[in-house]
Amino acid sequence: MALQDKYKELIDAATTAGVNNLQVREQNNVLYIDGTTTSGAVKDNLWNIYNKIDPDYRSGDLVLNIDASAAAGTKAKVTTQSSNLNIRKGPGTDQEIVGKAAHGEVVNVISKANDQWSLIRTNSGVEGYAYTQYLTQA
Amino acid sequence: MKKLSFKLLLAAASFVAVSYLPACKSNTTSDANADSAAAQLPDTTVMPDQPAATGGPVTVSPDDSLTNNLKDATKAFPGVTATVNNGEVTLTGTISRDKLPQLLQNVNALHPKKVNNNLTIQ
Repeated sequence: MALQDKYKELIDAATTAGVNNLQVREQNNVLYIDGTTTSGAVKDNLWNIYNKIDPDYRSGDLVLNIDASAAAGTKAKVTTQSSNLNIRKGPGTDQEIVGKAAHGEVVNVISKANDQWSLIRTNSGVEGYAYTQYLTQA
Repeated sequence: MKKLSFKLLLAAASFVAVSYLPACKSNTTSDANADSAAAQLPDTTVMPDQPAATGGPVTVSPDDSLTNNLKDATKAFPGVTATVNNGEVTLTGTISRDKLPQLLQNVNALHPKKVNNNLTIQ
């Protein structure tokens, strides 16, 4: 319970923000917080609170997994730091790059290949796989 | 006028008396309550799923899948090395502070047991 106290502000914020399928579990001195949201801002805010409680995420006592990625059949915004997002032939960074989507560009999510990769199509017609963490629900 | 108000008072008094009697009338009121509670169920049942639920045991990815997925997760962060040992991911190397949240978001999404951040932050 000690870790739930340490990260209370984070848990409360996730609850208030209506994070879906929110799970808060403590196991072997690590706290696991999982959930999904359709808001990239909610995810960013939770990570900001995490950084405030545990500066630079040094303690190694929390695994925070808030999925704000776009669902299949919806549109996603490319939320890379600033660079373009590679679109690849298959789901993996070892796959050939077939195109790029610009930072901030809105693309169509066709399906999710697995936990990490989504099949997308840009408005200019490029189709391929992109890393899901950089595709926030538009 | 006086007679009418007396009659009203009598009616009110008998109504109060009837409603306090432990007769079959109390059954119908409790039924009504049960119905209204059922009608509100969708609102109240949302609650147990939402906050600080414990759920089942935590799923930790096997080391080989973590190692494989970390290649993709750290691809955009040259200078960062990730190693895996028994579900624990250890990050070493250097990174700029503004890129740190994104890296950790990528790594935390892979279902590690723990993340040790030993990065030098510039």
